[in-house]
Amino acid sequence: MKDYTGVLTRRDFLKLVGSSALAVSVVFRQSCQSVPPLTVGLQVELTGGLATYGYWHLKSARAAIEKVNQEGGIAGRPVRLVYADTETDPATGSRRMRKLILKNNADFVIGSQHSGVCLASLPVSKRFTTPYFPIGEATQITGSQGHEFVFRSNYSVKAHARSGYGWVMDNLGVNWTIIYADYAMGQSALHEWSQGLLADGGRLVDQIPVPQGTDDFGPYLKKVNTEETDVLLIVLYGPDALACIRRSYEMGLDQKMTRFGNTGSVEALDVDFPGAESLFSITNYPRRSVDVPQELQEFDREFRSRVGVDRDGKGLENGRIVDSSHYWVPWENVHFLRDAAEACDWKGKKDTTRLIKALAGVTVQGSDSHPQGNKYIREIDHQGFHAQYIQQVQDGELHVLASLPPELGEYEPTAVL
Amino acid sequence: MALISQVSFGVLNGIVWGLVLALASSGLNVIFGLLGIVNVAHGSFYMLGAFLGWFLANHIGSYWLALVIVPVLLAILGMGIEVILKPVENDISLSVLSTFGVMLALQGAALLMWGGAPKRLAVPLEYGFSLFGTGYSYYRIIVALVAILVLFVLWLLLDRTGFGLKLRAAREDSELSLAIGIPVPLVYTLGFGLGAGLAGLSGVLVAPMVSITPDMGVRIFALVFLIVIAGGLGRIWNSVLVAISFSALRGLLTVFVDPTKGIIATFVFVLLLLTVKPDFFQLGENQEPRPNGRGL
Repeated sequence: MKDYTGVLTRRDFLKLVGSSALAVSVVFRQSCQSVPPLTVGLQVELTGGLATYGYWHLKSARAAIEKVNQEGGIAGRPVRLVYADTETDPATGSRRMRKLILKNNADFVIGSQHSGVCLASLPVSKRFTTPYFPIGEATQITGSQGHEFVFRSNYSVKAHARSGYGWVMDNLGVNWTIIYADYAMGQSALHEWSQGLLADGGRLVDQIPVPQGTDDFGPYLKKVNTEETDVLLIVLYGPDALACIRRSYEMGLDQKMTRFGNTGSVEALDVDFPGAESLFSITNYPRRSVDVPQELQEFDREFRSRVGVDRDGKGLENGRIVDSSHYWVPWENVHFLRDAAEACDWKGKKDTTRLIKALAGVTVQGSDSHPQGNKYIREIDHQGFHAQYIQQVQDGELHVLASLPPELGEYEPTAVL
Repeated sequence: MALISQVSFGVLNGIVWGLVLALASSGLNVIFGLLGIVNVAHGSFYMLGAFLGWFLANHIGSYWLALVIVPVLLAILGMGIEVILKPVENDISLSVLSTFGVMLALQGAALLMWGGAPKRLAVPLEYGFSLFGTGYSYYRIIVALVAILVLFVLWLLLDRTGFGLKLRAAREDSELSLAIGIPVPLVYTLGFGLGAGLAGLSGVLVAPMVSITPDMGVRIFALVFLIVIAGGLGRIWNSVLVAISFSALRGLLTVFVDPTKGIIATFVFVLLLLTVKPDFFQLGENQEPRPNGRGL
């Protein structure tokens, strides 16, 4: 009989392979479990009225997460991005927020640009104790409807108005007519801008509400009292803002008064057309690199390069105009999260209270993580404050005329968390 | 003086927009009123008209050429869609569902191709005149004149040619029409193309006056649908009258009240009017289209 001593039998071979496979899978599983990815959700407008913004917000969030992963992730854990389209609709937006948390296991959600979506999503964030970073600007997001899981690093409507009304009164005139989008954001802006104006002795000549999706601005602009108005304040965004700017030019209003737009009025808009010339506006961040403050130039270069934006604020891939007032927000929010999670040694949901403490009251300096510049998130209501810029359309381009410091936008908090 | 300025602006502006609405609603009335196809995608042809007008004007360098080409392209697209929808066009529920799908597809295609940012087409005629102190563009006057001209041609086509007669005959009794040699399927296809082309033309005409977005067709569809219903299905000149009077009235009311309230007041007024006197816009004729080809 043949001696099989020292020879691997088929049975032994199968046992060996089976046990090896089991061992490898256990080890692999354990190693995976030791560094599970951290999931950041992005609630974004990829379709609907704010699709222009959503395009850039997705690019910005992707670029930020790619950078963070290259730098070692968050506390050694890789980061993954999941996103959901709100369709610029509050009901859909809050439903997708729930999906991000429950189905995609998002640990945090960076939120929508649309205030209505943000307001509808606030209860979802609270119910599932998920930190939420909305970008929408309605004051009540960090005011009457805010809660401990909500952080807004960018300005609210109220902060915009506080920051800008003095400059407009000093430089453009004290008799205003405000034409505004007749929904939460516009009504909020009307209230805040006119409050500042009236408190400092200015006069609100008229207020003209306009429904969203208005094609013909003629009847609305015809209501403007051209004899008594110094400044036409345009609180509109997207197609409505463009239609209003063009028609006001066609009707000759640009010759009779100064037109001043809120942050949304020229966002992602090509301003190289006759009707836009001489229009003033307020913005969170300069569109053109040349207007970025000297001390932030290096960070701005890195940021634009990673997101894919050229020095004039156009996409490197397709020439699309960037929403310069807001596209830095997803980028900075990812970095806010990283720094806070590492500072409090965040491991999971159970550490959320520690994360909230780490974020509340945080102050950051301009850096590659925060290219927009210095800012702070107020501890009492989790509202962020940062610099603002006054710009004007000259020769078809936006030029920054003045910079407004973060503290100028400060206001009494309406919520105490 | 201020009142004269307000009233003249309101009425003139209302008539110009009314004529644009009249063009778009005539297109829907051909498709829905004459052919009986509930075309929910009608607003999408208007939207595509604006987008293609913008695209072609920027690429070939002539808006006026785009104004001629785009309606033809959209008429061809409309005919293609009608051929695909033929099996369901006689079933109201199915035609609503399928044209709703077409609307979503066309809207999605526009978003995919041109993005969500509002597009702006330069006004081809920068000059304007002063209407009691308020600037008004000559281009808007041209829009009104083009609309009047096209509506006149449409009247000739539908009321004075064999095609118009065949269009109504095909709807009235398709079997009898086939029996006497009218190519009913072809007539339907051409009629649908005509309606789509009219919507496309109104889209190109308004392109330099509005912000061009993928959802602009949805907004106008509701208004155009209402105009067609108020004017009477198949009664094209009634819907033209409704469009112009509705828009002019709205313009006039905005002089005295907030423009948004003016729109609501106009809707309420038209509703009340139709409740009290349903045949108010019927130009003194019978409700039913006359089978002899007259009285559209």
